Amino acid sequence: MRSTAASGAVLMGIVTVILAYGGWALSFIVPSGRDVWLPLEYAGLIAFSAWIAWGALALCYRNGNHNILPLTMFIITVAWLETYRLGFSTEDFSQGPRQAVFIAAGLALFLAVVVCLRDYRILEDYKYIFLILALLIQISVMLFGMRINGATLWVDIGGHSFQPFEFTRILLVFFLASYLRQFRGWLRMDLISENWRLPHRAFIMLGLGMAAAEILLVVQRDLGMALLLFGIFVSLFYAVTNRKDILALAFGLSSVGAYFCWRIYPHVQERVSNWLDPFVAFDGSGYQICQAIFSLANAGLDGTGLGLGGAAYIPAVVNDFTFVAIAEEFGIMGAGALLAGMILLFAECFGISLRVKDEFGSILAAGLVYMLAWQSLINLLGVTKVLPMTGVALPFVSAGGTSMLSCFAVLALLWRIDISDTPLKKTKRIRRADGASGTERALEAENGR
Amino acid sequence: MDVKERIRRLAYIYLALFFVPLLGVSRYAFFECDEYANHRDNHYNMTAPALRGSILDCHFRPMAYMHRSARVYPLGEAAAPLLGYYSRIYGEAGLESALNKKLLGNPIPRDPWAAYKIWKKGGRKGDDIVLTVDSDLQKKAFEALGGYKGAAAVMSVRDGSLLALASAPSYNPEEKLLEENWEEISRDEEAARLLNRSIQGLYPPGSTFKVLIMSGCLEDGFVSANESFNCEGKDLVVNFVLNCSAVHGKVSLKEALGYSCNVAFGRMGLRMQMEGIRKWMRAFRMDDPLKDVPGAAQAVLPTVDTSSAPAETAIGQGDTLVSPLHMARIAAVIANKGLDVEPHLLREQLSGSDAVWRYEPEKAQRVISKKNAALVAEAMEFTVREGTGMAAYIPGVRVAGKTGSAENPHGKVHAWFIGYAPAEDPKVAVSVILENAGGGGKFAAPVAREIMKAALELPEFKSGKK
Repeated sequence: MRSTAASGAVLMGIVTVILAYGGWALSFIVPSGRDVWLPLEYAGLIAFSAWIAWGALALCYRNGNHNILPLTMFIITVAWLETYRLGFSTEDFSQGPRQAVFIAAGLALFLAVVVCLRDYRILEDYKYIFLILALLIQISVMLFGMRINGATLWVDIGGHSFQPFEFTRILLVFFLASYLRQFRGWLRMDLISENWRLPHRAFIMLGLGMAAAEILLVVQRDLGMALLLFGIFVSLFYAVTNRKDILALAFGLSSVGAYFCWRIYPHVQERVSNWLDPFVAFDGSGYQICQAIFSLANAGLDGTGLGLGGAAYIPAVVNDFTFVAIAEEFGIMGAGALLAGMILLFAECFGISLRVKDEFGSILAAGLVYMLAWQSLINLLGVTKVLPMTGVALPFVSAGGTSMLSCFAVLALLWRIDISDTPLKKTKRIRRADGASGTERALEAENGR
Repeated sequence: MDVKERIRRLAYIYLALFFVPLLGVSRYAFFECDEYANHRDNHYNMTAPALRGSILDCHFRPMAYMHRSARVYPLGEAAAPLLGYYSRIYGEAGLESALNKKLLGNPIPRDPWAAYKIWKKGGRKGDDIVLTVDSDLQKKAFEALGGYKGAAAVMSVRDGSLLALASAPSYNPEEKLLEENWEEISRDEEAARLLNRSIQGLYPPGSTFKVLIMSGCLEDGFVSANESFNCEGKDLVVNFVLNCSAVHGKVSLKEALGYSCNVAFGRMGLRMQMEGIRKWMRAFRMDDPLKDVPGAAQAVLPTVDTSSAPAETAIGQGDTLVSPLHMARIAAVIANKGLDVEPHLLREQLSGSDAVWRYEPEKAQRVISKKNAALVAEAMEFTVREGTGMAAYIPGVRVAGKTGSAENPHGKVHAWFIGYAPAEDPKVAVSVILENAGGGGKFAAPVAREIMKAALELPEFKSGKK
């Protein structure tokens, strides 16, 4: 179903009402001595910037998907209200305002990317640069990064810490989408040909690139991101090549790798044992997940109500466990509404991938949505103890500027792919009818096809 | 099958996976809610204080309730050892702890329809607990203890409901004051402020135990109503010297109780032997776990079996230990003409305005015959009229009672008094102990008098009086 500006406007209206009501509700639980109307002012800032961004897109790009931004704003709004409220309990009173500014900045970035990135297809030509850049960033993090919670994930730039993997994961999706599309013909061939020649260099290149990235992430102890990258790779590889044998090989190798990680790294063993029974280490590493369980046990059908839950007792709640806090204070129904919002948002995004006629656009869009969806799932399944906890931020929900900006950038790229589907007036590059780029044509000529 | 078809398939899988976190939430919020909401490590329920239920007295006056996310105790010190405290730092004690689960309310039921109904009613709120305690009497009983270390238990004779359970020294249970004075409140083992002495304090019963001995002896035929004893002030039982407070001379059974003659009761104890004494302690339900009084201690039955032990035990010394509640119950049995009613503290559990639980009285058990109960009752009335318990006399009211002065290793004797009033139509049974205060007749009896006087002023007893 093609979205219209009308359905988007209705959704934006709903989001505005939630923001207004939520900001007003927050004024009741503002600790004494603080400005009671501050939450409402920041809610106004969010609503204002959301309407500006959405209105500009609706006016300038009539053929765009105008449901995506309101659905995102719904998720962001619920999460922001909870983040703001948790700031009261942890006595971090600037947390809510700070997050509101990040949201406004994210919306500005969204507009900027949509307007400035005229042709996303140029991304395809820089795939090796993206790969090398991604690896370089991760290596430099390892060398210069800060160690927080046993993992080297953060770098400090001008007094602000940020998590570079939020950006490297996007670069890696660019690389994967371009590479898989270009070599899909080769990758669909048998691994070992009749002449006992080595596998095609596409396999070797891809295998080495992915293995290098995975090993870097594991050495940095960023298990969540390693799992994320693996998920994106497996999904995209299957979608493009339909190679189940390679997938089996990848699963086999990564199982062996996971087993050795578990044997070698104490922190991996800790994660697994905290997943199996967190109460054994209640006073230690299991405390966080135990408190999260108590929080959920307090939730009930409709939750405790905003400000009445105790999720602030979970250490680092706004980084990893915002979903649990939302579930506690808004109940099973609130958590269900948030998940429904995510399902609708990602369904719209998958719709872009399926609708776009350009094959690279389709694969890139799919890769970006797999990334957002799988990252959300790793967090959600971790905090509800379905999977071991890996400490991955929940897109649009977890507090933090890097995560918010990078997620908005991804969303803008998806949006751009959607509207680029209709022919641009000035096509800078000559394209074949089947969508293959000039590079590929040259390559095929070289290979004598 | 082309690329888009596979993207579509994977998209369905991804979207379907988003239902799994909802199952994960439901697992803890719904299916295993009970287990984790009441987990021993979960000090978490305290963080939802606006939902905690109230504790109400028998006239639905609040004794503990939430106000602006703080727990308020209108009675303050007077009921603190009974109600306990509720602190976000130190947890709960007393009834706040024993009734914690009920005060927090039931977890959301699994049945979605029932859950929906709760939601419609305005969500989860803890249940309110109605006690049998009367706030006014509780306050007066605490004041009557007059600064002594000690306790008083007041029981309604007719139905066994506990009207007041006072204990001193006490503390201010308000959260802020409690946390400020925590060291003083919790560390002072001498004062043991957190202990509810009326149901948890265990003391030697002293001469008040003679009521039980007399009942048992009459029932088992070891003594007859018109038997008399010769008291020469002291008696040697094997190697134990029974000292009497005075040389009573020839005393009847009634006078023996009235003047608290150790010689007479020492001899009765020897006739019963330890087995007999233990049997009658069990008959008076002293080994009862008192399931309707949360936190109550069980009595310690005597175990020493030397040849002089029966005499020693019969006058309430030896290794017997009882709480004031046990002794109030004995007084109530005599007042009830030999019938024992179960003492209880909880009356109702209210969920919103519906009673989800109500105390169901069990059938009263006969302990001693009506005839023998009347004999003991007459002797107890004589005690207050002419004997050791004269200080408990209330003008215009016939009071029955028994004093006790329990020797103990901590200093002066504990002052005991048990009794009931009015004798012709008993309404309240009372038991008082003042630790190391001195003789029971001098110190405990006036306290009991004040408490009984206050109890008889209660509207429910006043209206019964023609």
